[in-house]
Amino acid sequence: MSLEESVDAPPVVETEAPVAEPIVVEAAPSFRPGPAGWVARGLVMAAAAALVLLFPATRGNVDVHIYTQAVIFAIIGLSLNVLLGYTGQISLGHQAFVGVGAFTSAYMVTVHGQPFVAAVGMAMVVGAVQALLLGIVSLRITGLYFALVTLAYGTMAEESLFNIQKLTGGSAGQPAPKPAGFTTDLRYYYLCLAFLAVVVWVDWRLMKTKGGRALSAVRENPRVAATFGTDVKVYTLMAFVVAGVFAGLGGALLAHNDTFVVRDLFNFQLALVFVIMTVVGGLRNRTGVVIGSAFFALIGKLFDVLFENGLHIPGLKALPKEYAPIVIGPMLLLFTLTRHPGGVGQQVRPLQRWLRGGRFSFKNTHESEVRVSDVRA
Amino acid sequence: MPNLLASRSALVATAIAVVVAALMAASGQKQALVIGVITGAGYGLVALGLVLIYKSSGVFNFAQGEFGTVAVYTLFRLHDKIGVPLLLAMLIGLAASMALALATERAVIRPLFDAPRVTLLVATAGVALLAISLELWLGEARLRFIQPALGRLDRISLFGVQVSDQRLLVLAALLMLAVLLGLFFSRTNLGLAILGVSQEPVATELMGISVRRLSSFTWALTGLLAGIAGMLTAPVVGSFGPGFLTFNALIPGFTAAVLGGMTSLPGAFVGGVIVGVAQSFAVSGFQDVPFLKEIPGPGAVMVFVILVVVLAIRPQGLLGKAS
Amino acid sequence: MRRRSAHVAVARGSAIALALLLAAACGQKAGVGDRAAAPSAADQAAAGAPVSQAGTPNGGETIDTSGGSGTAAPAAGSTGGASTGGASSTPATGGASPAARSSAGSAASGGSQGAAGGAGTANGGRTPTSAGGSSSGGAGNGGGTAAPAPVPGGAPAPAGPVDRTGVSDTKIRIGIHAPITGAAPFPQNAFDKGKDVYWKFLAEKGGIFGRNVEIVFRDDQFNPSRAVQVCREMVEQEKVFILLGAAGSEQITACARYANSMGVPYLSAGVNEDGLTGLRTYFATSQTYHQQHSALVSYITTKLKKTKLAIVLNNTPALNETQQSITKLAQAAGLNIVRQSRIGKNASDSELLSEANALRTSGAEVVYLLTSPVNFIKLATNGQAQAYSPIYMGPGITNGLNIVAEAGCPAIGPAKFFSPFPQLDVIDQLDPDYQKSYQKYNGGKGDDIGLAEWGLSKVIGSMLQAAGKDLSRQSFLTALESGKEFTTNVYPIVSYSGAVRFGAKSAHLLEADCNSRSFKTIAQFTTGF
Repeated sequence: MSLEESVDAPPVVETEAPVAEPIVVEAAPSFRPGPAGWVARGLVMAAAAALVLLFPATRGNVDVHIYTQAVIFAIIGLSLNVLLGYTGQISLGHQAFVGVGAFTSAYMVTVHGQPFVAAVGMAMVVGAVQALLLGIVSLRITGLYFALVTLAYGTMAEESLFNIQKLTGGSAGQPAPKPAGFTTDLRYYYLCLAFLAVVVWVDWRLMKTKGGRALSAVRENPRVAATFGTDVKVYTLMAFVVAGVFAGLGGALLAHNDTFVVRDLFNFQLALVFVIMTVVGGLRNRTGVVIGSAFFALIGKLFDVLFENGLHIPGLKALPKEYAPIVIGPMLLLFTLTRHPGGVGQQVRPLQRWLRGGRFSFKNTHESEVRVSDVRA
Repeated sequence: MPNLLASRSALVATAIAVVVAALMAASGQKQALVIGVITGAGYGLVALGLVLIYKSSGVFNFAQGEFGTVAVYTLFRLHDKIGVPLLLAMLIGLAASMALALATERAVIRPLFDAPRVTLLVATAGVALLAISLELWLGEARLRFIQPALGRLDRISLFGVQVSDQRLLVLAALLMLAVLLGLFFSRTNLGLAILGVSQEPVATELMGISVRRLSSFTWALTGLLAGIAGMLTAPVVGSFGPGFLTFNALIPGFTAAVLGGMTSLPGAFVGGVIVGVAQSFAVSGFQDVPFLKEIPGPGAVMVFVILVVVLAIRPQGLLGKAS
Repeated sequence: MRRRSAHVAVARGSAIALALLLAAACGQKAGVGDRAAAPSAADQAAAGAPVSQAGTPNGGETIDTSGGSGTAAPAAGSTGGASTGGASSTPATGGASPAARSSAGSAASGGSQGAAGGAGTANGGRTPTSAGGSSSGGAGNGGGTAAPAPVPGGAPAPAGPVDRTGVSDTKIRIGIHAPITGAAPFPQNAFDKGKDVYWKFLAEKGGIFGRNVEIVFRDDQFNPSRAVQVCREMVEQEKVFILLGAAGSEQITACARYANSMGVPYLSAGVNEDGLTGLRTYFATSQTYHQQHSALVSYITTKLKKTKLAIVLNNTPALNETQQSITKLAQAAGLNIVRQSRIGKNASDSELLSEANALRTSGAEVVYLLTSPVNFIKLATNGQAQAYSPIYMGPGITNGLNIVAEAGCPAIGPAKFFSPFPQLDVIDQLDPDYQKSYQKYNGGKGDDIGLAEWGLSKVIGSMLQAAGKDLSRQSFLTALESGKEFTTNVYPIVSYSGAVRFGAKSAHLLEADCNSRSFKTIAQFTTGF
């Protein structure tokens, strides 16, 4: 793609350490919004905050449960985003990471009687270990073949790991009660939101560390990799670990949201939904990934609302709403890949820029595509 | 294959296979051996299509399984529901899978031709998911049961396992297709051109061969292979549902292709049989071993182990060329 | 640019933190919107009052009270809650594992368990374990009982507020969950036509004290987590009066626990007993697997006169007790058990092929089977491909449906399954109203799925009738626990008491007739042979 080439074209490496979000060249660098502009921006942010924070309080339990799921999907999307965005490796078996986190947490609480905090912590640790192992594999097997390995791992987890009765309760599943103090759906929703905020913050900080910048540099210009030497391998493994921690966290939260975790949930379709929501959200764009993930979690609900308000497509009403993500998802994926590789994040970029105090303009919104590792062997 | 190295690899592969078979027979797993060869033939059929696409465009075609499933659904809808004669229904089924393959090529592969290969993998995965979702929606989530159309169920009895006509057909089809495709790629101009286009697209174009046409042809051919794989194996399995071939045979098929060598068509055949036998051995043989029998889903574990081991030790597979 | 972004970041961060604090504070109030009828958390400790005066147990199972309320109670969620020491049921029902899990779950809820635990023992001192017994993580609380954390307004306390959710002057709303997908090859709309037939029939005769019944039907996808979700939606969003479970041990167990925690009466077809014992609001409308075993074994010995038996069950812990039960009875009857195995709920085709092979090698003449219809058909088909045709038998609910015969013949042979409902060949003698009503409201002949729905509806209808004009969840439970017999001439006779929840007395035996690709009734309302 020509856009990729344009990013690679300048042979001069930037002297300033590159940050992950592309530096946007503004038309008028000295633009400053007036007071009215700031008020407008404040109102928009307040509206967004109200939507996220206050709206769910007006809804019943069942709806809040789905909103919580959207938040958890956002965490999972960010986890996959770390993997894809930093290391350039794709994981088609991410549902296994999440599932392992979920079952670990449920196991800790139910079989060992641990409190919620310890259980979630354990889930994060196990997620990290799992990811580390996979990361070590990725050092030797890259690109397409790595994707295949993750896929096979996901299937194996689904058929084998998650069927070990002692650990996962077999086909009956494992109870995963909500933590003390957060037993209502609404409180648990806010808890998950807090976790999401932490995850976003950690991800943001990581980007600024030496390792994060190094990985970004490697990704933008692979020729630079040589100057960093073996450190790249260490940073890659660290990125895997971070992704694993986030995924384990997401899984644990998911388990407790449903208060019951069953292996049926972690199937191949879910793996693809995760990949799709991250890609459609826009790689390396946190806001986009959060929005994309939330969207996919809420699609079923969206359909319900549309149907109640008179949308009528023959036969579509018969579609059970659990299938909505996998009907819409691939279409959005293919659309994104072929037309707007930056995904939702790319579309949202003008708004983001405006909120930060820049001018609202559609210029320079094209996101360069993440260069994912190519085939080896 | 005049290449001495390749023929030596083939010898090694065959030797391994014979040893494994002997081991299995000796350990009393004769039924597993027969069953494994039969299921392996199915995997080999899928692997043939995967290798074909990889050889010609370097893409991992994740939608291969769904091309086959679509054919099965079409066959079922026409033959069982509407009553179209079997042969005609099968032909239309093949047409359906080829159509889906061509559509994928046109709408997904061509626009992304210069994109990284993993992007294409994700895109074909998207196609697969789309197909599955359509099957769920239009065809409902339930399993359909089918009986083999062909004659006798007990044509021959090998080690106490009844091998039906249908199963023999699968085996025969695999053999025949592997040989045909091998000849096609090494002897015919068209086959050589397909190989050529993946190495030197510009040169090929200059020689007057339309790269676009070749691409479409290759994908149609792979759709055909998938359709055959699906329609032949579904009656052997006895039932199918949405994502039938993808869930049953795609990962073993990829493993078979990797094992045989992603660039080797006879490798796909050999790899398929080996994966099938190993999987079958795991499922029945593990039950006798005290620690191993606790592992649920031994078949999936075995396939995963084979994949990782091959990629770690010998990424080019048994019969592939080291790059 | 740097400075500005720092400002923005700080502003954003503090805004979010502030808002979160605010929201957490609001979260307290938001709890009001939650549950159905909502006396607040105020009566938490007080409501430790004993609940089940009705139906003192006769030394057998004890019923756990759902004393105490929910929002403030830190007790874990809705499932797997606290064993408040009511778990004394006889070890014969075995199966420690689910029990261990649920009581361990209670230990997780830490010290404040004591409140609910203490309250729980106030039920007449029947229970042997002490108040704090729950927190000793699984201290032999066998029998798998659990009193999940109750919630305000849901506790079926005679002293508490009367719960009339789902009941209006003209309507009663009932929720049913069933494995439409995942267990058997049902078409998507298989249940739609038949679910209302009985209620329309009844409506013409005046309904139940003038009320008509409305059915809400949901697919639980043969997945316990999904089952809990749909049960939750039906209870909390659709506000159903009672819940019914059609089939599937895990789904029924999961939903039963949830329903119990919410004080919603829950009835299901009989499945396992383990995990369902001791739930205040649970009743089985047909014989449990265990209850069918003696008739099954006697059929094998007296009618089939076979001796080599293989036992194959779904690989779910809830069925451990079932496996023990059949093994014990078979051995006592002198049968030779040549193979025992468990197969996964979603077993892969290669596993089923291997299992069929193993069965053949074992030489079993009769195969006791307790799996989903899909697994059954696949197993039988694989067996047939190996020229192996044993007689398949089993307790069951869905294995005796005609779709199984249609999909599975000729491989399934003369398979025989027990069933709560008879088949179409005898229904006209038992209850001619079915076909007449089906013809009237739907046109055409009723199928066996409709028949099952008819029978179930009839039983529920008679129960609703018995609850009286002043219909509430409490009056419904009281009517059931009164010991009254409910006779429908379709479903078996059932009666319950405070202690007895598995109250069906008999079952029908169905046999597959592959010439007609359907099941026929070979024994009606049978208790043995």
